[in-house]
Amino acid sequence: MAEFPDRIYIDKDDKELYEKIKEEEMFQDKDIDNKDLFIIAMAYGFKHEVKRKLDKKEGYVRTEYLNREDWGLINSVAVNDGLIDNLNDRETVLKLAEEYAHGGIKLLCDYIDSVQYGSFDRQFEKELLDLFDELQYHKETPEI
Amino acid sequence: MRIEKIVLKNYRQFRDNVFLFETKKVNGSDLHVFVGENGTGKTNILNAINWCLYGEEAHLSKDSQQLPMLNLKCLQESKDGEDKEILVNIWTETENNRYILFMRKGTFRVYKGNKDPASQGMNFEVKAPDEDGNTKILKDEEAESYVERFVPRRIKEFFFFDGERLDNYFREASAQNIRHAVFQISGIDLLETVADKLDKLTKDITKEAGKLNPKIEETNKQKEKKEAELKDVEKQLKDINVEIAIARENIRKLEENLRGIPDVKTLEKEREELTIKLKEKEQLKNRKINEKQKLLFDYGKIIMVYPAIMKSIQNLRKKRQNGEIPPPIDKGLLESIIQSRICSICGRDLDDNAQKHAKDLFENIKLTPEAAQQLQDMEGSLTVFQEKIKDFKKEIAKITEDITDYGKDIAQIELRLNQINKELSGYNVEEIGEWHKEREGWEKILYAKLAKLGILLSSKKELEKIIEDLKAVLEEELKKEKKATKLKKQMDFLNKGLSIVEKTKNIIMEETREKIETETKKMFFELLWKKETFQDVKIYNDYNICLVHAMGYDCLGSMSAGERELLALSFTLALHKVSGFNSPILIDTPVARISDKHRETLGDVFSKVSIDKQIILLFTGTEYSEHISKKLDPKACNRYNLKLSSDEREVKVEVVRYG
Repeated sequence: MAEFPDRIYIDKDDKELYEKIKEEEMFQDKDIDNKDLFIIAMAYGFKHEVKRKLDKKEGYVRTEYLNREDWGLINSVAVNDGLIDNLNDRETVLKLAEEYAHGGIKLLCDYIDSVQYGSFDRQFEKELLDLFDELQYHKETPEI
Repeated sequence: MRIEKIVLKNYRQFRDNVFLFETKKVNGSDLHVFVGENGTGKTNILNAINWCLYGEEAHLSKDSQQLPMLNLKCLQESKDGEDKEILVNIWTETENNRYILFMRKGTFRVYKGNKDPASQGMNFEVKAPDEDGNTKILKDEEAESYVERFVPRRIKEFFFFDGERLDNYFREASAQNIRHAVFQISGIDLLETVADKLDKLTKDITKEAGKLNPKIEETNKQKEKKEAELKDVEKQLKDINVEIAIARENIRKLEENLRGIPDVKTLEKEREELTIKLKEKEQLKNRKINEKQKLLFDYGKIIMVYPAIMKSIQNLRKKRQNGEIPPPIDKGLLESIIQSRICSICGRDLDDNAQKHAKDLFENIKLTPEAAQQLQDMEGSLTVFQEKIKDFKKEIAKITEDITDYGKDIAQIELRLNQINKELSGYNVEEIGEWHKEREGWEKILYAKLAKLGILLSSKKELEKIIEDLKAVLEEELKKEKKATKLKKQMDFLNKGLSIVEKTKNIIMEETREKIETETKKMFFELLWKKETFQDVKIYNDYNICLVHAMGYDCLGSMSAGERELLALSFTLALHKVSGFNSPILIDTPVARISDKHRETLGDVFSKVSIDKQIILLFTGTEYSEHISKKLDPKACNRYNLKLSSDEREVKVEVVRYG
């Protein structure tokens, strides 16, 4: 069995993008760290179904910082991509999350750049509300 | 009586001047105007009259106080040790066309090197015709008595005065002013002297009676002590009433300044409080915005991944239904049994059938225990997500509402702040603030004085009661003492006399007050330009004056400067009439404190008054503006323009004669 990976990687070129989104008002002064940014990038990539292979890997977050909830999200993405029987293959699971994050961070930055400074949160809110309504409409899960 | 001529020699700015006051032939008005800039000697005409008649210069300016009474030109031209005379003569004419001349002469010795010449004495004489029409020269008391019949010393302030008096008369301590005026006009000084005399006699007799009986002496001592205390309290009451009136007047003046001006202090305080509140609200709003952004972040990652979460939950359920979770047999354990062909649980060797069964089992088990464990761990988080997401909309709506509410509060505060800033713009906030501070200070003083007034009134009442009791005791003791019968009779007589004098005094004062009230009202409404605005003028028993507005309320405090001056002028003219002295009125700077519009109307008033009374008015150049000159020039008998000589040591007079 493969060794448990000790860190999560991002593409080296994405480092700049992560730094950039840290400057967005919505991500400032809220105890949001690298791990959180990685998760949101992954979620954004997942939502837009964009995953890209990493060209130049660079360690970004130590896996020990991931909590139960973070793993829940990463694992859900993995299950969705058919890795349910291989969830104990952490390397594969994280690789998938990294690819979504690689796709997501670029989209997120483009999105932030496309709106006026300070208004991203309002756009993001609107997008989430629409998405939430959409999820309710489909009722793919009875529990919502 | 009227002034016919004033002759001034070596008196201050006047080296050698004669001012004639002829009546106007055409309309009979007796109006005379002096115009001169400050320093040209206008006010010293007022001083010259006072000096001539009463030997005093009551209206000296600060500049004049620094200078000798002797004209500077004369002083300059005098030799060392030379005596020089200052002369002021006032020629007056009686109703019967008889002339009375008031002459005051002062001799001063000039010493070079000393700017103040030394007075060598003063001489006052009156030249008046006797019964046979011959001129006689009167001195000392006889001369003084003529002054008392022209303008008595005690009421001179109502005839020759500064125009500021007209502006201030009903502002500062008006009740005291009116009481004082009524007292002076009543001419009851003699009664006052009689009352003092009677009082002293009563005390002397009581003292004498005290020698006969120690109890009488003791009671009398106590009574005198209490009377002295009462006198002191009465004096304090008088003072405190003046102080209260001054405080009230200052408050009124400051309120007048502040009328129409925003209450800067309150507004500044409100602005300060609102600024703090605004900051707080903005902080709260920003906190909520931050909370909302964090909420969006936290919910965002879940909502975006939610389809995967749903799929995971479904898969988990399926696997549970299929019995894969939890795995029935440890896949690793099964793998080691197959490899060793020995059952790890019972220790028996596996036969072929058992081996085959184990292999079948192995192939059917898909999840490793680790993978199954991962799924089971994950299930907890997924349930949390599922629960959490239910509140998303509610939480966002709640926090958005909070932000909107704070936004509304902020908008309201900003609106009020803008209003305040607008209200305060264009005002000297610092000065207005000072006025508010001053007003507060005077209000504090007023409350303190009113409190003290209450205490003093109660002490007065108490002392009066004690004195009355002591008097009763004294009366009893005197009755008991046979030897004091004669003394008691004398005392009764004196007390009765004293009571009659006091009553008479009060009756005269009351009558005078009523007459002044009637005449003031008559004069005021005769001279008033807006007759429909006011209804009545009242002078109450406590000497407070009230101007009743047409709507029925007292409007003394809110009348315009022109109206206030007119009321004071009417009051002054009423005093003249009631006093029985139809002597001239001389006002220095009569309209300096009022606006052009009111100057015009007061110009008309002076013209009207000058038909029955001689009026001498002293104006500065700016004060004698077109508004008043166009009214007075056609009515005035003559106008004296005063100008200082180039060396500023004497005044040059230009006479403009009219009609």
